[in-house]
Amino acid sequence: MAHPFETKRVQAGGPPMIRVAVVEDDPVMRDHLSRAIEGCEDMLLTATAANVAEAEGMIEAGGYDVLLCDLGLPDGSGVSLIRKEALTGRDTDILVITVFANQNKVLDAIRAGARGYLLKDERIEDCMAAVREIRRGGSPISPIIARQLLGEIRPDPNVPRPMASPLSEREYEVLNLLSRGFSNAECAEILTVSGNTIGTHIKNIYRKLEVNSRAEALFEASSQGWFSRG
Amino acid sequence: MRLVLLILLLLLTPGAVRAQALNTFTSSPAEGGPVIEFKDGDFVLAAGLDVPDRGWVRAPSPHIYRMFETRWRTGDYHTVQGRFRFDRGALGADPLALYTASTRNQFIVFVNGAEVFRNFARVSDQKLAWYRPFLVPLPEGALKPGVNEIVIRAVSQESVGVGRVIVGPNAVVQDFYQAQYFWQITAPMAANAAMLALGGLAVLLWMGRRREVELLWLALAAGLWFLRNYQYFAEVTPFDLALFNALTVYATYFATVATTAFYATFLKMPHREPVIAALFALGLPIMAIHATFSLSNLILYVPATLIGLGGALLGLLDLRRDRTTGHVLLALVVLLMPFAGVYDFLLAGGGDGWNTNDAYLTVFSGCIYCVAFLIVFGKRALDAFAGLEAANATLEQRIAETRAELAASEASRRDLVVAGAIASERERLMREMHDGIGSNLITALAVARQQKQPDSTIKTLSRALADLKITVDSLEPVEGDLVALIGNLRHRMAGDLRDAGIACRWEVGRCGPLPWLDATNALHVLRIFQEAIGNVLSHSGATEMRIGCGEEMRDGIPGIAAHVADNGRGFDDARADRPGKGLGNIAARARALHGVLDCRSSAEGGTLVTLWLPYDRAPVARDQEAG
Repeated sequence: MAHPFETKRVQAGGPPMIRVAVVEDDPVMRDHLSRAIEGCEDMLLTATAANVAEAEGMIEAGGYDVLLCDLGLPDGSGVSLIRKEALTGRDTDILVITVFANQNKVLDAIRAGARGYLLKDERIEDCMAAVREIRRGGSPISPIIARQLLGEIRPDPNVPRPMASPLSEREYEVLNLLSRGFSNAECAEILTVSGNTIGTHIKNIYRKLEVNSRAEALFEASSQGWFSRG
Repeated sequence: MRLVLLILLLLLTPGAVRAQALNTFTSSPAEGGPVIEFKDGDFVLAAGLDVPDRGWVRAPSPHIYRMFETRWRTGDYHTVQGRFRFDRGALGADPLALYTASTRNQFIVFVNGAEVFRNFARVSDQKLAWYRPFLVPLPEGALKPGVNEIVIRAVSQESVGVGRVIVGPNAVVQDFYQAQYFWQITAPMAANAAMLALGGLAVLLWMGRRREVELLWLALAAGLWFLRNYQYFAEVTPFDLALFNALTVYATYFATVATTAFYATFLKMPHREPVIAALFALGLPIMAIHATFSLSNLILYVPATLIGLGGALLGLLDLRRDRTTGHVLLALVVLLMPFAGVYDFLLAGGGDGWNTNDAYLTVFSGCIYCVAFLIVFGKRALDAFAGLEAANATLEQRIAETRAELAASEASRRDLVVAGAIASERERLMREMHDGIGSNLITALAVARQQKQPDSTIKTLSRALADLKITVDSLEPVEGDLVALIGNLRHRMAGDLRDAGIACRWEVGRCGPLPWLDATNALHVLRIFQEAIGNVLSHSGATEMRIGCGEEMRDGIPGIAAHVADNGRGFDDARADRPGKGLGNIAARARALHGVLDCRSSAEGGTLVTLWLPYDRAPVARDQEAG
């Protein structure tokens, strides 16, 4: 439940401000992002961190809506930070900052709790648009990642694995279209829904992947428990 | 006076007068003269070595006299003499022979008062002759023209008697004798010897397979049947006569019980053990009563017959249930046994004695039983061998399969190791590109933009970064999925297209995976499309671009055709700004892919670049080499 003062502030200030925190070790990139965020009227830069140590304190403190997180940090992996943030249970949207959006990195981050990614070379306006988009409930996805997700989330039926959150028919349909190279807008047209709906589906797919990966981790742990007891 | 004397003589010695008369017989013609079988004879119960003149009594033959041990004490000597008179003239001129059966037990044959044959060597010989045929050649010297007299003197310590008597040409009588001897002596002896051997074999088999208790029952039955049947073919009593007789009678009962026990065990009848034990136990009081009160043998034969009928009933029930060879065979045998019993009972005149002519059947039944079972057992053994061979074959096949699986899993393990090594190397390279070159390029680009460096600098940096991204994308494992690969490129370039104001249409059909699409080939494909899309962006002046792929056959070879088309200025070789170098590059890449690149005007008036790639590159590679 929102704090009454916050509600008031939102009412007073028109559309709600998006509070953003940045974890990025490259000072130029961090600076670039920070200035871009501060330059947006609807965004508020609440904190920045240059490494895992700083970021951990920042995550404990909280107080942001969107967390932009680099993965290759000098003292560790951003994936652990993403997991830490996801496990707080706050309604934070986590975006990975990446150069290539290659599937291993992005999928690891999504399994940990990320809901999308920013490409470092994207025009800064596009980056800010992605932040707004994620806040509205939409996530980006590339065909190769969609393809990989299809394989992940619909695994071999012969292997008994807990599927904590199976995809809905519609989500599967969306993922299938995306893996075949259709853009969000094209998917929306084919399925006769709005572009936002597609974004929401993708975000939900990401969320299910995270839940499943957590269930799978638990399952692995319990299986190993069984074996060691035997 | 003489007449009175004659009458007196006749009154005083009626036997003597009648003794002068010939005995009646039936005559049947044969080669060498007729064969006669006496229909009556005279007997006298007189001990001693002489042939008495008086006291002869005429009686029908065969069996002019016969006495059973139940009427006389076994062990005492009993003697009977039988006399048969015939006219030599009624028979042919050939040498004659006498045939007799059931004349027992020791006997001597006299012709006209002279001894011509005795069936014993010593008086102590305990001969068994009740079922045995004898051939006695009648020496021509002993015979005389006219009336001849044959006297048979029989002595026995039990049943005594003179059985069937036949006289005829030696050759004919001997043939008859041999046939009778075969069926009454040789065949039963052989059958029972075989049965005993099979019983021994059953014991040996049982020692190897202790669970097959029916083998033991069979062996026991064989032994008991042999004991019971010994009297038919034995020449002498092997031990004390009274005991031998008793054992012969009692063995009948126990042999029947053992046979039934065997059959019940073979059929796996429920609750058979107590029933078998009870039947064996029942034999003991019957034996005791029979011995104590010298009762008829029937008190043993009747229950034995009832038990045999019970076995036959089991056989009938089993026939309805199980029609396999073994079961049918044994059922038929147990069904036949009561018939043989009834036949033999009738043959024995219901206990009065053998008809002296026809062979008994039950003497063979034990052997038939053993043979039938051993056929069953042998078949079972053969089936087991066949099963074993099949099992061996299956086992070998399983071993081969397992070996193949092991080899396959070892191969896949090695593949995994290799794949793991490749993946970790790729990971290392990726990290290098991402955190090293990539990050530096990004930073450089950001700095250049911030510092408002010349467009050419920014473009060069952008292109370098774009190239690097394409290289990274080519390394993504897509399992030959061309659609995802091109889709990803289009996704990457969506921003540039939007900025250039070019609408993009994605036209994709169903495509199967290209099995040969590894990282190197993926990079060729991506470079070709990057170049084609780049041309649309920078040269065409188009407002719309179509990009996509679908299955297409070329020269009978299935493959995928991917295309980029625009509605721009169109393809013009003469145009100066056409980047010929780029086009040459992508043509070379298409050849490296064993694909076909095609650039021409599109339907919209712009350019259409098509890249056709075969699913299977082998035939295309051959064509290219040949071309």
